[in-house]
Amino acid sequence: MLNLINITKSYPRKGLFGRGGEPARVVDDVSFSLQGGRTFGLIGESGSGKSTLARIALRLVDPTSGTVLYRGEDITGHAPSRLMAFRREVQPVFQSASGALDPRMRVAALLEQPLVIAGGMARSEREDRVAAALRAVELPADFTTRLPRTLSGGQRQRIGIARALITEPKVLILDEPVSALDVSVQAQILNLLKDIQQARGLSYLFIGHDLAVARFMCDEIAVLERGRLVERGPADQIVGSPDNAYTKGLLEASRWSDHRG
Amino acid sequence: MMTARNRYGILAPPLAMFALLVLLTLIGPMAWPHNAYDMDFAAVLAPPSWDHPMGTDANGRDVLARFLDGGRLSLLVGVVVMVGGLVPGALLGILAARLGGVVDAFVMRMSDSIAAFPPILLAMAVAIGLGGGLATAVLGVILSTLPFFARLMRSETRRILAMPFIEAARAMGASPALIVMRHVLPHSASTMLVQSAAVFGYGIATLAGLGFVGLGAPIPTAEWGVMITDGMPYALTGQWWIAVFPGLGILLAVSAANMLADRLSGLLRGDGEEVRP
Repeated sequence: MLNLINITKSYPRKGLFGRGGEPARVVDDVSFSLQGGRTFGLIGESGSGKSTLARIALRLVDPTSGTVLYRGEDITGHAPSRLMAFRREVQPVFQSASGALDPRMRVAALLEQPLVIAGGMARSEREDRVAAALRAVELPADFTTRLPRTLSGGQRQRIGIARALITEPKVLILDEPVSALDVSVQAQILNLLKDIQQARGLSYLFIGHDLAVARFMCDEIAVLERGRLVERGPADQIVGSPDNAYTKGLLEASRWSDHRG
Repeated sequence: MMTARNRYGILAPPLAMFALLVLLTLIGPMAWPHNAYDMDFAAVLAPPSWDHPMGTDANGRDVLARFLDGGRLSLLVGVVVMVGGLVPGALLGILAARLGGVVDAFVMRMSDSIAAFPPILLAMAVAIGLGGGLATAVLGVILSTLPFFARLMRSETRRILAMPFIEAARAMGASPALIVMRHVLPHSASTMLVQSAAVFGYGIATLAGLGFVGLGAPIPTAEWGVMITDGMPYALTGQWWIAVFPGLGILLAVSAANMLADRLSGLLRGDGEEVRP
């Protein structure tokens, strides 16, 4: 579905006297591909470049070099007008506590926004879609008039997922979708995401830092350290018998967090 | 959960104040038997009485008649300055923030050069340069308000464009125009409203100052600002009523504007709605 090939992203680093210093490489020659109906996990600690990769996969940030293919088509250099189909079919779910929902907009307006942007849909049809999306994430229909801050963290994340589903996409880019949530709520959201994937045959790009969560969600996992892929393979293998020291460290961290609560 | 009607009810007092002022100044002059320009030398500097509830001025003109007549002009001028400054100023601020680079530098340096003049001097220069009169004075005052609106809108736009939900909107394919309409304008509305209310009062007061030096509304015209500057010297000799009543009018209008802006911005933020289910 979605292929990222030899992606590098670097930012110019300004030295003390104007230009100078070599550019900071946030992502260094990373390639992976997302298969239809499967979940690919990108795991790393903060600063490893995983969110930059999510933004590149969403075509929010241009890579310094490398190619993004969607269904075999090179979309790396496409202008916004040629990305409309891609935008409908590839939707993001952000870490909702960080404010991916406009606090001034009510749920109905938030949910229908992707449809309004895509255009060409009657109001009544948009309302039907909004109602269906709320059902899909198991929220009551009367949530349409709510403001985001009147919702709990889990409910907000369900709204984020409903918004991503409303254009009937084929791919979801899940950028730390449960990191801001309580452990009990995390499980609910992860199960919901799995159910939705099975029902609709979606492909997920799952981005996170917790290997235990990744093992539950992903078919295949790649571990990122400082912009480089250090290990990749089937989820059970990576988590069950990691080769790389960095991966082992991440695993320790996630075991520790398991015992914490 | 409070209903929408309840929440909007807090707008009633300032709106009622405005309605009262507008009705008074529109209908008042027709209903009140005295004329704003008729002089009665038998009743010069008369204190408030049943016949002249706000007294008379040095030319024996009825202050209430002038108050009613002048209020219409003052309120209109306040609104014209406010809208005339807000719309182009906000547009420039959005463009500067969105486009950056040369456009940003140009708009900001123009703002700096305008703001470098004391507003009243700038307005005077424009009014004189364009031939004097109320219209050119209004234009001058509007020009002096542009930097406030442009700078504020620029910083608001930059602040809002950096928020995480803007990135979400871009990932959904929202165009820059849609992002401005759906996100930037609603989020900046409360700040811009409060600034607009301040400019409403500033417009009335500055034009009053211009009237004092013979720019703006020409001398016999009834206008609150002109009336205050007219009545100032008499306040020292005990004839307070000439300046106090138009001053009260400005106070009421500006307070109503501020109260309206403040409460409206609270409603736009969704204050008073339940926080959790």
